[in-house]
Amino acid sequence: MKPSAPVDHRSWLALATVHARWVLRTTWRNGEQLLLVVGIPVIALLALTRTDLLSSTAAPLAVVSAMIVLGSGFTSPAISIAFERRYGSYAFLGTTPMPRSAIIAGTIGSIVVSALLASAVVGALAPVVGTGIEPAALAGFVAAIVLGLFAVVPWAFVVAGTARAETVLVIANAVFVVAIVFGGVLIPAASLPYGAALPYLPPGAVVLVATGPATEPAIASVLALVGWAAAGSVLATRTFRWR
Amino acid sequence: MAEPALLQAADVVVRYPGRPAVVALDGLNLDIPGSGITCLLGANGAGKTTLLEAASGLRPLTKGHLTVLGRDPGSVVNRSRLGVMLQDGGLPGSARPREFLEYVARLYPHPRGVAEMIELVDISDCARTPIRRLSGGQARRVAWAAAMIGNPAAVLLDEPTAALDPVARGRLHEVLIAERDRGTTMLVATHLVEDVAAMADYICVLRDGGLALAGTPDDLRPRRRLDLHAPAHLRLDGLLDALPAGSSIEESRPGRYTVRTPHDVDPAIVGTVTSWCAQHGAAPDVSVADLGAALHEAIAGSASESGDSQR
Repeated sequence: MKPSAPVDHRSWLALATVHARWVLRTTWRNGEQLLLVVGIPVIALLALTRTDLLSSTAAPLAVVSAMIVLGSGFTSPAISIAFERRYGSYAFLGTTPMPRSAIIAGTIGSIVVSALLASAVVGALAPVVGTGIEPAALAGFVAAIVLGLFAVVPWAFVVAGTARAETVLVIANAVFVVAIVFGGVLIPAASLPYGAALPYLPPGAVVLVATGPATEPAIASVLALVGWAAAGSVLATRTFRWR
Repeated sequence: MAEPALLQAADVVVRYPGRPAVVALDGLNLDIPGSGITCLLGANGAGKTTLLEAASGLRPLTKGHLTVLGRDPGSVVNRSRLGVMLQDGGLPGSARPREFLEYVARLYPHPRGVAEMIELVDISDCARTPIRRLSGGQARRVAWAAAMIGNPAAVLLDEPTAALDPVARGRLHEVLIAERDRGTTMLVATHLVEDVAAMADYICVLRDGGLALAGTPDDLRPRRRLDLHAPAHLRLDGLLDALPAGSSIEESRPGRYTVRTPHDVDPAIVGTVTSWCAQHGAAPDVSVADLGAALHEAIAGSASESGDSQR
């Protein structure tokens, strides 16, 4: 056997960063993932502000923030994680010096960076399409995205860590469409028979927070998002299977 | 200081839940040396992959004790010193081999060069092709490179030659032997006796989740056995009388006879068999049984306990 050199390790943070960069690289190179993360929010912003194709009673940035949260924080990572599981990539990583906690942290880090990049693209485009961002609106936009990610990312792990990759592909895309159309994002909650519940579900809650983070209804939605985050985290911890 | 064993298993049981539960390893006791290439041979379902996964820390034991390089499987230290090639590869389908190897290299403190590994496993022409578009053999070579790129002290390889054509298999044998000569200890699970013959320094045969046979090739080479090809259904009582007491003859298939002797086969015994057959109108093909024959028997569990004829 090779002479026993002292075993040294890369730090946990270095490993998590390596993994985050890897996930970012593979996500932003994949056309379908890119469409979910940044393409649909940008198209929606243009459609809401420059055309009559799409309409909502909510402010365009509030609608787009919900799309960024669901695309970057749920649908894209759920699909990506599910296929990594199917390929056995996590099993292989489990034989390397990468701890599982660093895999999770790196994955979450990549999701946050993806959402921030998508937000930056939308934020840069907003003034061009005539939707100026007031400081208060910017605070609401950022708060909605951060809290929304906090609430939905654990559920991406729940879905991706329990179902087959093909099933996750269907579920994650369906959740995105249903949430945007019927979740209090495009169709106003008041127009829907279950509208009273929507401020407490992630899509509707994100829209409310983005619209006015300091208002009373938004505070209830913030609490609801924290609850979704807690419930999702507990469930993910108990149900996620690495292979 | 003595090298720690690569793997030590004491009464290891791994049971997969279900109805009925499947016992993949059933009280396995095994010591694998801490140097050279050990081939873990067995039929499908013998327990090879389960043992490698348990040694990698991916499969918990139901019972028993297992150490790898003197430590618990999956320990942080072992994950830095051990390279693993899983049976199903574990490669992300959308990634390209070069970038994937660059990523894996960054996980280790002292990795080998990516370019060096790409050249070593001969994947230069597909290094930028998405892994899901590679042939089975190319993907196996990428997985092997990923196992080696951390410059490990030891590697566990599950079916590294599966899906390789004979030329590529021969090339991989050469590469593995060269790596052994660099000081890398290897445990190679395979179902191909050809792999064992080409590179094994130590052999373990698993059968039904237990150890059927273990030793060096020299230890396991049968010395007390002749294989005889002759017309089918010969009456061999006369031959048996001419052989040393304690010999036996079995017709395992029509025209295929195995002659077992109580001591090492020598030219006199070969001569006795040849001349007896010639006297009885048979033109035999007599050969001292080789290692492959012994391993095939151990894999199948068909070692003859009792011959058709026995003295």
